[in-house]
Amino acid sequence: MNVLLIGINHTTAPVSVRGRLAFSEAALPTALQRLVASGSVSEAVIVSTCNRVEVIVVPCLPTAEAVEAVTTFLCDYHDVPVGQIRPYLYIHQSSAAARHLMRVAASLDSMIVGESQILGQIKRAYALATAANTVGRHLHRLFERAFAVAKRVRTETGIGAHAISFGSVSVELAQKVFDHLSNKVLLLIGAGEMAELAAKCFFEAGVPSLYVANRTLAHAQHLADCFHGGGRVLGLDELPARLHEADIVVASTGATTYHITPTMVRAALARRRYRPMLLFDLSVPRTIAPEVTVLEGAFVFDLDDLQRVIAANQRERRREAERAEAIVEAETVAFMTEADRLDIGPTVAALKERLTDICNAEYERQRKRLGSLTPEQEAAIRQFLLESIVNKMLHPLILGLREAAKQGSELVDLRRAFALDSITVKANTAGENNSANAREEATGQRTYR
Amino acid sequence: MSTLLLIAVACYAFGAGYALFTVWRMPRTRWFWVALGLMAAGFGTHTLSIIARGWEVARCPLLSYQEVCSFLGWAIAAYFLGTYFWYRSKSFAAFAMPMVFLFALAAWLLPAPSDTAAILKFYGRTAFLLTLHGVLFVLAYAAFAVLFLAAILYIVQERQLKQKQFGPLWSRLPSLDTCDAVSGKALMTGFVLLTLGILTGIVSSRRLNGVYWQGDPLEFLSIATWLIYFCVVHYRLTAGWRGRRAAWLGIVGFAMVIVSLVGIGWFNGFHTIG
Repeated sequence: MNVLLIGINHTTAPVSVRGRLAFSEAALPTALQRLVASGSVSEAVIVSTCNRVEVIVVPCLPTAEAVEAVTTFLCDYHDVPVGQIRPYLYIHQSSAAARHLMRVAASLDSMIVGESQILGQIKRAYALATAANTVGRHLHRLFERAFAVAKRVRTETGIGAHAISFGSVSVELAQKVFDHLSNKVLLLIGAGEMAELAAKCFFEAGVPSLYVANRTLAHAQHLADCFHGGGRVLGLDELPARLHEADIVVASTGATTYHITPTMVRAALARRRYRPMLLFDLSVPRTIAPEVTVLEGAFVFDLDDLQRVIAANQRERRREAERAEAIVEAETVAFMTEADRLDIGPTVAALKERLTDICNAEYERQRKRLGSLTPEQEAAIRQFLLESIVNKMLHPLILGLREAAKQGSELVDLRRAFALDSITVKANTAGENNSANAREEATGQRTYR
Repeated sequence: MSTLLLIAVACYAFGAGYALFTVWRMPRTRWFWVALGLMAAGFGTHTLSIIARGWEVARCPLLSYQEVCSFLGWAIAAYFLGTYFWYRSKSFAAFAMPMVFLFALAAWLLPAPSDTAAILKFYGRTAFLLTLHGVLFVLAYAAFAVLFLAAILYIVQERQLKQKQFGPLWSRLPSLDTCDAVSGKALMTGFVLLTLGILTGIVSSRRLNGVYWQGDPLEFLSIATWLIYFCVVHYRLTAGWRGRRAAWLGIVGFAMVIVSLVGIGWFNGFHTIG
């Protein structure tokens, strides 16, 4: 199957270049139609996210020309000189392209391996291309397979199971202590960016109410307002009296003294009847006194602890990613084998050539019996009569082939009956150009640098 | 009866195997459903086997080691299934499976006793009260077994959280809240049943021999067990005791339960069963 994937991502190109090549969602349909209308490709999908721009096409031209056409299209569309982006482009062909798309969909090629957004983004890109009518059966099969592989990777490996951001790790730890967060109270000490990020994660995990304690009450109010009336504001001096109401405490202040002392926590725990408290200290220097850790029922995690959890989870993810790579590899091989088997294009072409040869040969052999013919008559016989006979004979065969391909049966029998494979070999060795293409196909990937 | 019990043991064996496998690595979710389904099926056949045994000997089957183990395994299975449907905690369910399996296996391996109905006949009017005494004790022990399991899981989990060292079991352990809730309920249930069990014991002792206290070692053990659980209940209700200390006491209490269970045969006193 001849698929070409040309693109840039976060590993090959700086953000400035990626930004220049990015497509807005609104502009994608017209861009796709323009690409297909240029005649160099028959099918096209463009995946454009903040980390990557990839054009996946089924070329109508020989590979090198198609690559050139797509590159030119990218540059023309964004009005960028070709020389500026060529060093960053990677080009994958056939099996390498299929493998790459599957890896991207399975989030193996993401900046954060295992993140789940990329699959949705690719599905969206595919839906847009389908709506713009630039997806045919080749890309349809490839994308459907890539989605299935992504799903398989997600269910069979733990690639997305280990949290690797401060927010998600905190939520994971909270779920280890509290199980359900839907009736828990979150207390933020400090109203900075870290606090906001943490609050967002906890809200998404279902924490319904929140206190914000801050020196500047206006900042606290601003943050509390972001959470749909679920937030209330506290002054720092109110902390000792209200600490026991909080199940989860996230401290991120710039303070140089401890805002949370062991005495405060001990009193709070007693008032909570020793229901556990989870405290996160995201500030440097620390806001929560280290001695709090020894209190039973108080679980304190500082930045270093969270960092250690993240590092451990990243190791887990990398281990899972290796399993995922194996799945992608096996799926790529299976997909390509199937695609080659199902691709009736070359068989039809070879069949037509074979039938035309037979007709022409028979015509030459029986030519004498036809008596004298004018050049016009002879041309008409060759052009119209013979060709339409070939087409009439070919028609039911093509239908049969298509049906067989749909059901996944082999095309070998027909190819053998007409000795088509010997013809293909002949054709391949005859054309310099063809064998050059075949070599390219074998290497699979070329990167222009 | 033994065929039914064997089927139950086989079903439980799969559940236990699943649980051990989860320690090693995370299986797919559908295996959990298979294990849970088999546990439920095992529980069903186990129930039938107990009924069949009761029918066979025309009494409550609780007069031999084999019967006690079987009944205890059944009660733990019931408790565990109930816990799962209450808390939907897969991990807790997974850890409870091996325990059920062990008791059921013990029941199957132990020799079936010769007819012990005669003993009950001998007790006459008190037979019902004695049976109730046994049932209450076994149900209380089952609750304490669940408490023991929850306590162990709590301690392991709490330790990992405190030391911030997350071992291989980390992602499979239930949350502290779940452990605490399960152990709290098990504690209350077990304590009430144990208290009632001791009371019925005292009353039947009075009826049979005219004394409230026989001086049997098992009686001392039971009172000690009761005192331990009383402490846990008391501090839990008054001082809000929970967590590590309560968990350790739960473990100590279960050790007493095991000693009592073994003691039934060992001390060879008043409480001897067939």
